[in-house]
Amino acid sequence: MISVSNLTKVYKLGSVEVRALVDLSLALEAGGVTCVMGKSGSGKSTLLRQLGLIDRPTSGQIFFDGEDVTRLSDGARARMRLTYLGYIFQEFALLGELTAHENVYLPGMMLGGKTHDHRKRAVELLAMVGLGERIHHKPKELSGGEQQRVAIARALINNPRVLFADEPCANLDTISSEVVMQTLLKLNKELGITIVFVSHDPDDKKYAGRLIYLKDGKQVEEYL
Amino acid sequence: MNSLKVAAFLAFKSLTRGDWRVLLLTISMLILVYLNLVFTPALLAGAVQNINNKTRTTMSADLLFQATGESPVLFQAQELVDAIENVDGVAAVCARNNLGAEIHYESETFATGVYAIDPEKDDQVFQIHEAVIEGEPLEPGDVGQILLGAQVAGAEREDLELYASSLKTVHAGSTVVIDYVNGVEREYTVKGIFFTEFVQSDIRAYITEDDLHTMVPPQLHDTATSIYVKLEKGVDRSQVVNEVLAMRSGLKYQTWEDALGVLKSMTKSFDQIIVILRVTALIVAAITIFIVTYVDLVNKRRQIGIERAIGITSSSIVASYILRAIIYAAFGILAAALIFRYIVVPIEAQHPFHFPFGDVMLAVDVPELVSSAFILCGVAIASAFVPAYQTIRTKIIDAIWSS
Repeated sequence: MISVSNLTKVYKLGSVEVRALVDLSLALEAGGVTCVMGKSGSGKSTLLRQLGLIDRPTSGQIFFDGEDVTRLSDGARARMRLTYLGYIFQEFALLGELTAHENVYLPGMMLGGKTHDHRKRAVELLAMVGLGERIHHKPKELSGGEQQRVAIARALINNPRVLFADEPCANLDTISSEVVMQTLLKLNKELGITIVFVSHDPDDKKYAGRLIYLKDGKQVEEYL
Repeated sequence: MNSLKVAAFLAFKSLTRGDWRVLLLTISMLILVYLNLVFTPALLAGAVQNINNKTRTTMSADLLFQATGESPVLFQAQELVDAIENVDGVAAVCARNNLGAEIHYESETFATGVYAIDPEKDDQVFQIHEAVIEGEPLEPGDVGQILLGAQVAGAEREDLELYASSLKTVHAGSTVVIDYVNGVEREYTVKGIFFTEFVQSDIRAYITEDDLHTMVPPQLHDTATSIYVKLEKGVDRSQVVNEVLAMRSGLKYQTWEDALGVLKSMTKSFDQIIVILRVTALIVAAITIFIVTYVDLVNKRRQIGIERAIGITSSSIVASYILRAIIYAAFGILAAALIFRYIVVPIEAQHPFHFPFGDVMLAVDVPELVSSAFILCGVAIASAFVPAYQTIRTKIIDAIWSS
């Protein structure tokens, strides 16, 4: 479903070059739950940003369903992010001026169709992540766990096939983390959405069907 | 279409949910920018209008005809006046004789032009009679009576621009002596003093042509040094000129613009200053709006990164900022236009700026206000577009994680 070939990402920090990903190749099958782990600076978030088409690799290729999407234009990448992928950020990344409900249905409006339908679906999604009573609250009126669940609902509005989550529980307490992870697993189980999440917490292995371990931008271990 | 819908949604939410103090400050700045854009040009335009109006209504009328050749005198003046009165588009005509003279009062002397007029006809062309501040205007048959400009009489008004060189203490009823350049000396009772608030006009003096007839031989009774023509509104001036010139040879003409003299260069300079002020005000407006948008964008860089990451297109994001700028500009302009029309203009009319050519009112030129509004909107759009476009060119990860 998704594969990368010889993926390399080099960041330039002044005169210093940091090789965040080095010649990485891997493939992710549809319908799985994959956890990308590694120490800080190992390249796990960088990998997720390449897969989520939020950043461009320095070299190598990314394939979605066999199609090379590495060099797509910005517009085409935006379209892919809108229709094919969902992305959940570590810092929740909600729009502060919008309510939970508006945050969720906004990407739907971009796709077209009736706004009313998107609004209705957003209500359903928020109910699904357990926030049916809090749809009119703004992000600052929600707890960290609630904000992350709004972000999950937003990522689902356009029925993505793959959901990328970059350390979705990093800023959450244990209970909230459990709720968020269970929500992701539920989406995988009930809707068949492929989940790829990054974590540095070894305990999170339990949620994954597959574990990719990165070190210095290279894959060093893999567990199934 | 979807892009525009999302842009409108983002702009609306940002305006209604954002910090209202920032919104108020931004609109207030735009109000000031627009007022700055229209106020000084309106004042200068008012000054130009005033100069033009005063020139036409107190000195030159719309057209004036004079004799060519060595003699400055037009003979059979009444016949020419009657003929010009019958030309289509002519509202009124009068003839005047300009006599060089020195006016004496006690130890003061004032050298000026004394005009011999037919008060009835003159009043139809000029508004001097409406500006009488002491005594009475001239009437037909007045002999030995003179109407003096305030700058000539002084009238103990030390605030007058030319008071120092005036007769200083002359009032209606005073007796002055006039030495004409032809050697005739006469005594006159001041019948009235006029004050048009236009220095060039207020340095003149008027007697009746009946008075003139007592000083010159009968063969010079039907003469004029100038014939003044007031036109009806919207008349083709060149057509009137051609018809009058065809009536008699030896005629030359001046338009009121020609008669402006030194004021012409002043009004021309005012027009140039208006253009410079407008351009400057627009640059100030552009920089102001640019700064407001730029600061807003810097603060929302992460938000923009998130919007792009979740699939909102760059064009939607840029359009949302342009829409906001248009809304800011629209509210700012509307509020400023209302303030200008219903507060600034009436207050200025009650407390006008005083110039040597009179009190100047703000000239409200609606097409000018509308064009300024459109230009300001255009500036607002450009000022919002540039920083917004620069921001969406930033990498998404830089926008989100470098903030």
